[in-house]
Amino acid sequence: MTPAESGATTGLTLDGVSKAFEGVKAVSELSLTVPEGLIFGFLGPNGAGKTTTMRVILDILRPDTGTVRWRGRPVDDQTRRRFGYLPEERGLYPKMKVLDQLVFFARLYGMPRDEAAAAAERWLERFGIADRKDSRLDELSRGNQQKVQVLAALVHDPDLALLDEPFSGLDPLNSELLEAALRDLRDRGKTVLYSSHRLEQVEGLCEEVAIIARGQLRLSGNLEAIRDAAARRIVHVRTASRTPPDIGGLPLDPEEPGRDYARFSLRVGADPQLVLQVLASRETVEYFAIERPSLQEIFIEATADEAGAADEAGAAHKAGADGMGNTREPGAAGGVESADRTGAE
Amino acid sequence: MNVVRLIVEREYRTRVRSKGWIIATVFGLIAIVGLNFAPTIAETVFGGRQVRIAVLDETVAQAGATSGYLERLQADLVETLASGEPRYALERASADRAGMLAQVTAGTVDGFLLIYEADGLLITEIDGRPKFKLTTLEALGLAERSRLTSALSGARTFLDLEKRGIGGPEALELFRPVVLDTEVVDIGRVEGEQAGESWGLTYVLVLLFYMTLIIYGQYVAMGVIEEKSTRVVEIIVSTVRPFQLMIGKVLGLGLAALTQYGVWVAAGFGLLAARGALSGLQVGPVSLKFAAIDPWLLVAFFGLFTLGFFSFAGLFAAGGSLVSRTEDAGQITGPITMALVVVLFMAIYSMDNPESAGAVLLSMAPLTSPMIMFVRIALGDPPAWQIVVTCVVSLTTILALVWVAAKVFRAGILMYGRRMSVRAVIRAFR
Repeated sequence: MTPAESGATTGLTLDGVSKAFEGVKAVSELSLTVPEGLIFGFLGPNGAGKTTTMRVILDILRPDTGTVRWRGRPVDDQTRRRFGYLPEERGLYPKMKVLDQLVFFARLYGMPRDEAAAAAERWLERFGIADRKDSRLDELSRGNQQKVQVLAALVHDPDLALLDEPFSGLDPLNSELLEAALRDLRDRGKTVLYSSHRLEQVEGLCEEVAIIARGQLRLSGNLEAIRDAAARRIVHVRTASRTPPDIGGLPLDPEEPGRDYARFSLRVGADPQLVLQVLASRETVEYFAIERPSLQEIFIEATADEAGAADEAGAAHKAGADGMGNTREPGAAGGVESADRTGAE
Repeated sequence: MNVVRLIVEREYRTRVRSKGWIIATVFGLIAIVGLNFAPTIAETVFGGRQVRIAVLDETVAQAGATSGYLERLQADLVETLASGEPRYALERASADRAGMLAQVTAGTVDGFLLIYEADGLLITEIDGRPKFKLTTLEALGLAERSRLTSALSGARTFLDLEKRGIGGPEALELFRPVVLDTEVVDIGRVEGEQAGESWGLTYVLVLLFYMTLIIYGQYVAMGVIEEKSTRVVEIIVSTVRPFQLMIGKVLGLGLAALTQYGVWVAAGFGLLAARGALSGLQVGPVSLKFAAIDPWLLVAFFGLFTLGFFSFAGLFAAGGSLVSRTEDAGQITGPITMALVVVLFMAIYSMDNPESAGAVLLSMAPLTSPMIMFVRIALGDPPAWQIVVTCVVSLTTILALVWVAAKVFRAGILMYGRRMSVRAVIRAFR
């Protein structure tokens, strides 16, 4: 599914969403469709505009242009109560007891008291902190506070969970628990949109992803389709002698080798079968594989221009937000570009 | 489920269950009980002892005869100690000057009062009136000394009058204090002694009003800042409108404050009632007769108190919306507290002339209206329509301030750690 199908009556649709902070675009003309009933990875380098986008979806920030729709209708107070939100800036009421806190949030999202209490107990049990339910939040360890924060976004069984880096701060065991919980939600037809920098995990968990950089969509869609569609192929070769093969004259470029095999990227348009024949004619090939690029590689390729000039808009926004007053690099490329785009609208 | 009710409930519960709130309430109670028993305690600790004084009257020649001083003093000094026994025990001296001095030194009596004829002819003693001298082992307290002095003055005047042929009940009649009856014609009821009392009561209630706002205003401002300082705000505003949040905050925190206050006031009145002091309590120069308070005045007080409380709570909430760190709270509560002091002064000036143009105007202006209308109801005679105006103005003020607070709050949500610039505040209302 592509953003072009923004007329969809299911799922979340962003259409031409832009948001600028003091003239610097954090999100620019972002159109995106998140189909219902799956786990959606929202990826991008630091400061790409992921947090801003989530805040726009939840109406914490008003977009300068563009619309956000859920199931074909603009998102309003009523629909937002069916969302769950884990903000980037973590924060709950520190003096409130864990259980009371979850019940409060569940009720705030519209759950009746009894149901809210039952759900809160169930979730605490599931995440192994039921014994701390009567403790005040500020008496919990950081990891446990993090779990409670995640639960506050899920306790009311939202139709759409928007989670801003939910796995950060969780140990492998708790990550596992959360992954299972998200899969559960998905299996019951709920939608999860989450941002993360752990790309191997995203590969395992998400059906669809979107990669944004500098506030613009770089790639989105089904993860497998994206990997299939990537023009680049990686060739893995292990020779009997365990030494790197002679690639003279072949359309291969060396890559970082694997544990006991050499890796090459295959030049676009080259035929891998031909490469195998040549290699096999030179020495004994024990192992030959043609791999699609990993999400990691796709990500780096899609955001390649970010490497140096980095996350202009996001950095400017954050500098403003935390009051650190970081001055921007004068005349940095990103800033100029954004300004031009602003002018063009 | 109503969202506002949910927020009110959370604010109220969290507050009322917090250690800080409970400790403050208990300390407040201890202070109230302490103040209530302070006079008794002070007496027990510092002066709860009977003073035995022997009176040696040298103005009478033969033993057994009396000049009347001892009897007059006994009739006047009738105070009792907390234990119920008389504070002053006066007896006739059993020996002469030297013998009495010995008794004082030995501690048989606390002191001996010598009444003697003046030797040298001082001007005041020309008509043969006696002089007085008190000899004690330990210096008398100021209160006891002035009490004895006034008793002696009274006795001497009484005996002087008797000498001139005015005695007994006739003389006592001369000592009766004057009662000034006052009548306020346009109210049409004779207030008599009550006028002074309602002035005193109004004064006390206005002060109470002011102190409550000072104490609990901070409370409300902090509660609003908490949303941002704990950063819970992002989750909250994604489900709740800022106006609902603010109304809920102000109501919840306000109710928690009023609960604490109610506990204290109830304890205070309960103790007064237990001591039987409701019929009359002397607070400095002001005498209060709680039992005699017009119930309608109490209704007016609680109604206007609530309106005034929430008006200022709205103002403190708006102030709290401007900052996002607890440490910055002082920057905004300071100016509001100053404004409160101004309102207090206005109220006190209004008490002198509750129907002056200024008082009438202020009793219908935002923020000042509840306190000053209360002064006017207590001491003046405002027409009903003006009271209605006051209520309407106050309610509008509350809603407007909460609305402003919500707007400012909404605009400042993501400004963690920063104070809002004037520009950002103005932008919030566009």
